[in-house]
Amino acid sequence: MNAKFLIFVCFSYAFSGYAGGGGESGRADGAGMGSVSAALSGRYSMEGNIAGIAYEKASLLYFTGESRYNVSFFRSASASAVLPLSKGVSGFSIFRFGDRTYSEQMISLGFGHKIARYAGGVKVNLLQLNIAEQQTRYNILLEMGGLADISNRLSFGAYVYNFNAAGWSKKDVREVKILAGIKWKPTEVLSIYTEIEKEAVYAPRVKIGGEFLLQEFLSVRAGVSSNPFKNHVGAGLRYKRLLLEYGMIIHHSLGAEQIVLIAFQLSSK
Amino acid sequence: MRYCLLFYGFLFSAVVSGQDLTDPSEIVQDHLNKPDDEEVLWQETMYDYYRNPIDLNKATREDFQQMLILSSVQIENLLNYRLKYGPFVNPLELQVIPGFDPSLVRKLLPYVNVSEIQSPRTFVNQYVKRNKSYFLLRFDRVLEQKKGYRYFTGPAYSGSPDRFIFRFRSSVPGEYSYGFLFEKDAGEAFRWDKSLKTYGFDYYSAHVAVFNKGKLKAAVAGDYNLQFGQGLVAGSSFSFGKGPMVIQAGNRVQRGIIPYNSLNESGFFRGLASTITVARMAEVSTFFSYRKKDAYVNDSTGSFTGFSGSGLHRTYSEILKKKAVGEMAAGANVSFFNRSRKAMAGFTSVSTFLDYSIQAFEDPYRRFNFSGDKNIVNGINWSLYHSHINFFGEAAMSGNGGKAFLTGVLKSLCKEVDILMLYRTYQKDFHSFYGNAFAENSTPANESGIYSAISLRPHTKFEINAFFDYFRFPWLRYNVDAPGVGREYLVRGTYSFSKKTICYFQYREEVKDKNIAGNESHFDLPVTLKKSYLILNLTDAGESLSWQSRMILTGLNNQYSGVTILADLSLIRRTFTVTGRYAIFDVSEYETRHYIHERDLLYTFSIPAYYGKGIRSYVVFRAKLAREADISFKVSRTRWFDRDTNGSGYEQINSSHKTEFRMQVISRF
Repeated sequence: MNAKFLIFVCFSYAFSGYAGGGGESGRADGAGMGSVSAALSGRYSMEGNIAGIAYEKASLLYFTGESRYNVSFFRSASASAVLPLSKGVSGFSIFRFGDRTYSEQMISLGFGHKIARYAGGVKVNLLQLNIAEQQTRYNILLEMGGLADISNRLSFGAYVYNFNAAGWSKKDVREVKILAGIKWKPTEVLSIYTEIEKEAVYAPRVKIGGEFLLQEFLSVRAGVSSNPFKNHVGAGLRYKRLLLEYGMIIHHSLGAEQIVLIAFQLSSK
Repeated sequence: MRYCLLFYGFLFSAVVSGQDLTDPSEIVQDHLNKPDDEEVLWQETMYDYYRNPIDLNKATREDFQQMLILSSVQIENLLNYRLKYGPFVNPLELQVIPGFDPSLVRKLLPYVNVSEIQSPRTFVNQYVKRNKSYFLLRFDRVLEQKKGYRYFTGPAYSGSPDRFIFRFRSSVPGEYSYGFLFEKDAGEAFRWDKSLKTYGFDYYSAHVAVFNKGKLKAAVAGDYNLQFGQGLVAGSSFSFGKGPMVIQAGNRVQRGIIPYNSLNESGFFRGLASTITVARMAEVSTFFSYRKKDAYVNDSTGSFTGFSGSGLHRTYSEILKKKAVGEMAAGANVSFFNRSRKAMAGFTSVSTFLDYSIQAFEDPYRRFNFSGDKNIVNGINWSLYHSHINFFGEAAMSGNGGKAFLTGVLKSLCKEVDILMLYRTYQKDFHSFYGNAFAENSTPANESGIYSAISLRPHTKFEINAFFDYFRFPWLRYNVDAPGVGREYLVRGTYSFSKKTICYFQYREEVKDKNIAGNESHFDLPVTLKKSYLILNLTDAGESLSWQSRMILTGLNNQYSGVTILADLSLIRRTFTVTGRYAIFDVSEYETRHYIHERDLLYTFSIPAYYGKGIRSYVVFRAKLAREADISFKVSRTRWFDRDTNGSGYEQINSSHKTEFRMQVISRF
């Protein structure tokens, strides 16, 4: 067996099963805030809670790159598009993780719709797994999420990833997880997020993070997450229709994960 | 003054909404911790009220007591309010009554109304228009094959894995009720065989009851339940146990004779019962019951060890137990009231005669259990209301001299605060077959304790309910080889963001002894187990869409022992409703397994235990077939990631999942 593959398996366990399948950090903006995603809405919701896509009013194209612990074959990249329709908002993304020895490719199609203060969304992911010298495998993973604005300042979101419990075999199921979180916006410039994530097999994770809008074009983010404990920092920059997001996740033994996103707003709101 | 109060009530109408609840199970879902078939009966009663709401201006104390939602002091306050200010103009006035917070009023609103015009009391108005009848047909089946149905030398279960229920009921609350039901459980055979005491379906139940006919307050022929006093002598009907309804749990209300139309095949009477108003201030209830109950009779000794309450007759040994022992019960209750009915005293006596003797046990923990073929229990109970205080209690003695005593006081300190204190002491040799008084044990025996509860409403949006129960057991219990002490407390804080969005946190802790598992010695060493449960819940009940999210965290002896996170979603349309749940559970300790209520078909309760690592999901679909008929389906599935089989014994399934399908048709007329 290839040494790289062995190292990959070891790291997979170290990540508590979050390697692959969209990455641990999820959204680029959430990565800087404890990797929260359940109560996040808007632009980048093709990752995280798909219901959040329903809040987006402009067409958007964005590219994400992620590097983990400076290990070359742990890099991932994705390209996504968000397109508001006459009823609802649709999204499309492609994702790749790994290298020639082990890689995962995923094509995702999502849809979200908002009625009054509720939003709901579904996403279908076609996942392809390639392991050197083995047969290519496919899985369809389904996601479903909801968001509700409890008040002007408080929102709640929850979603389920791979609720159909798809896997390579009955005993080798891809991660199945449920995430529920709250967003509290005490002022126009400050948003605080907290969420709990439970993967079927691993211990629950608690995440807390916040975003502060320093200027209209610049926001800074920070957060923590548990199991394993990680620190998160990030920033967002906006220049006209161009958006740049950066997030860093610090694992105190393994090192840092970094995620960069660049987005182009194709239409005005 | 009255209109000031009414205006005050409307000010808070933003906090409550008129018809948020359409399924009575919603009320109980957060108040139950263990499955119990009796809740079905209560749910049915509540559904009757939903279709035929209580008139706030005509209802009597007994009518409010039957609902079980209100404590005795709340009922008293309501009656005082009606007496002082005259008839209600709008049900929202309830909010200005001391002890009625918005959340309570929200629970009550679907079941009460205020009559605007007094209809003439004609036969058509009284019976035909108010009559509510329904019939129900239900089918259940677990899709995976269980071990009991597999063919070796022949399947262990005698019948198919299908469960069929047919139920009919017709009633006018406070006037009459009649109904019947048939049932075949999964694994039971549908056959006509006199030697096996099986006549088509496995279980039949029927009743005919009339109420309030002159001096005849209630009369039932068929199956019925009894609830007198605090339930030490006769308390076979449903009542809330320890839970978030902290006040109602400690203060049972006398419901008298209640017709029975439930699927629970034990715990009811079969025969005749009546309550007659003898004088204006006295009521006499008498009853007679004879039933054949399930038990395994040892032919050599002519005795048996106890009744089997499962009602399942699938295997040869279960069929052998079927209706093996006849139980005759007879008794009476005399209740005296003062003119205002604020003071009450009663005497209850119940005698039981069995065809065979229950044998005495050698095991130390069962040394004081009942043995013999006849038992008598006598008790006195009392209740007194004075200045927003309710003193209540009951004392009883069984034929062998075993005594039990319970007394409590419930006080509404102000509009925002209710408190309750309850003391009970039940001797280890007190035997009451139909007793269901407040207790930590499953029967009122071998325990004493003090229960304290408080309900606080410091703000219209915020409510706290808490109880603390300290108890001791003077003798050994099952799996506890020593006398012991224990305690349990619960705190629930509820915050209403708006009339639709409510969140609560609840912490519950229980400390009790239990033998060390796996110890084979004759006497085991009990150790103290501390179980902790934390629940965080957020509910948003919109008119067309409602959702709920909940997290349950448990601990055993200060060690984390499990978590469940779930999300519910309901879509409500005029012609159909769809409700679904997705839950992920990871519960490592069986002692702290998670009992979580889930939405089911109407009149059906489902509170499965979550244990192991896995996911549970379900979908309930309900659609209108016609104006007064609907069809509903439920598909539920549990999948475990930490095991290849589930269930045990003949119920074992050789698969890591279990899928259940249910279908029900209800027609109302």
